[in-house]
Amino acid sequence: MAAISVKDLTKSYGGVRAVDGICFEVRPGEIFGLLGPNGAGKTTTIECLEGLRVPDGGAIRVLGRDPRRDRYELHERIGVQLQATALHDRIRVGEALRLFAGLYRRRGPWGRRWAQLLEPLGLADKLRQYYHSLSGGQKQRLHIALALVHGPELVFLDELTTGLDPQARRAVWAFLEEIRDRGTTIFLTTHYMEEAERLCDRVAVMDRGRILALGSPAELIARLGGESRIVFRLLPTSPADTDAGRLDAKPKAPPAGLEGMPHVRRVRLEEKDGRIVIYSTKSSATLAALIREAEARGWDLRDLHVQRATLEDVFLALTGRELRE
Amino acid sequence: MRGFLYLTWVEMLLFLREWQAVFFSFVFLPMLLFLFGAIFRTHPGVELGGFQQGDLLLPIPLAIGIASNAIYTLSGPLAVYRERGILRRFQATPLRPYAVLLAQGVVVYAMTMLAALLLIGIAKFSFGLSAAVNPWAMWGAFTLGSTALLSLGFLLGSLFPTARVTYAVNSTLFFGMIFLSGTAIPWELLPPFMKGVAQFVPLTYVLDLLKHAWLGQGIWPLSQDLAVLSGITVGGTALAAALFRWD
Ligand SMILES: Nc1ncnc2c1ncn2[C@@H]1O[C@H](COP(=O)(O)OP(=O)(O)O)[C@@H](O)[C@H]1O
Ligand SMILES: [Mg+2]
Repeated sequence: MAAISVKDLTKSYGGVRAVDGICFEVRPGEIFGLLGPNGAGKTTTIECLEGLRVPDGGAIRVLGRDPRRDRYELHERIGVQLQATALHDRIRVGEALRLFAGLYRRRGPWGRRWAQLLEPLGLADKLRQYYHSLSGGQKQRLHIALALVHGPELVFLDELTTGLDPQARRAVWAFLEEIRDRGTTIFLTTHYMEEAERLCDRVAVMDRGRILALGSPAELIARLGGESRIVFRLLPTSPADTDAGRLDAKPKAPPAGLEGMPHVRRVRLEEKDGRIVIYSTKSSATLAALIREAEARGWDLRDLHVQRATLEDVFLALTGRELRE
Repeated sequence: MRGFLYLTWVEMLLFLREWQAVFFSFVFLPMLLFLFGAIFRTHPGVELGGFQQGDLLLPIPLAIGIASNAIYTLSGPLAVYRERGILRRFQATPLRPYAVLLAQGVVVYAMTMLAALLLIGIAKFSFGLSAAVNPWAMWGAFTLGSTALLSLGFLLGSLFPTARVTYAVNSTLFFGMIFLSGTAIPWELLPPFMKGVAQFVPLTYVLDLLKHAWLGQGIWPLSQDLAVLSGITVGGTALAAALFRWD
């Protein structure tokens, strides 16, 4: 039986269709990620699953239960980290853990040995600290700990690593994989491509209230047709070189002619840093053609490198927009 | 049930860590008692409705303490928790609304009880008042008065989305009650119209019970007071749990 099944879920706010008829299933024991930019409808979806928001339509089953009708029973079995949340300023970390553990009948594998829960999250020495004296990242990790404190069957994490530095983020990922390996199902949302790719067993790509693609990160990337990215910058060269358009330090468009090279799918200019990206299904051949072209036209190729495609590219191919804005 | 006990324990800690509520209960209320003591000493023997003014020395500050704790100290934190998303986090646990409300209620009741004992001690020993307090009647009057006003506090703490709205309604209700119940102004001095209004103010019945208990009379004969306050307790609490908003 699926841990979560969602059929035709819809939810609107005023005229805005925050969630627009989505369907998916989450398998027991997997880490399932909802990946999408801000405003995609991730929080609305996850909070409908948690029984905190009332859907306009559709059918939801979580652990075989209806999240609204059976919510007290369900809340006993799930753990939740909300995107926007807080605790009392003057509660200590240890007291918060005892309080939340005390709200449930079930016990986590750590029982009351909080160090076992806090250590992997880097909070082991914070037991006596007041909530208000924690940094943003420490609060975030405490909220993750509170979602896990009773050893739930299913955990919901909404934007779990916002505000964490890269090192803490990796530590949290490793810990969640450990939790998954003990048999807990994890449902998370993220707008962070690397998180979905590194951590999730399966990913649903969400945009504007709809799910555009669903599969393992490797599958989704493979659907792009074995694409690689050839990335480089063009430095301004002699003023005489005008046939490819103006090659400014920050060009407005990629130079003409790149699209026509062998095995090229798309060409794009990353507006942020002026890098040109060529998507190619056979990078060696495209690369050779690019270098010939550069020689012929006297371009100065800078930072030239080849990357494999990522979920970022999947999102781009599906929507024509970049994930991070 | 277990959730309720853990939450009560945490709320107790939080109460003691907030100096405002502690100050009000254990410093301000005794000061109020001394103030009333000074006033009554300058006008001894004024008799109103069968009560000596001095007889009201304790019931008035006590009624003010019960009312303000039940209204402000109870619903204020709930409004702040709601605004900050703390209640929303609780909503995702097995906690039920009545457990959240009752945990606050128990803490406020216990703290008000300690304040009441302090006030009684001061009244007896430093003013040497000879009122023949009937302890059981006093406890009954205090408890029923507290539960009735706490249930109003539950409603105030359940209904409003923001702390600002909650405080505005709290203040209106609190000042309305102490001026229209014979607490701030002796009932006997109220014009007939306001006496009529006072019939609809729960604090009127609380003060009446406290006066009789303080003078050593039983409270069983005051069946109207008992019925009204029990009704408010049950109705208010049930309504608050049903209408409780988490966000
Ligand atoms: N409580 C709400 N009231 C009004 N609009 C909302 C509310 N929650 C979400 N929305 C709108 O629904 C859309 C999806 O929001 P959300 O689910 O928070 O997306 P995400 O979590 O992916 O950033 C947004 O356009 C947002 O403005
Ligand atoms: Mg969100």
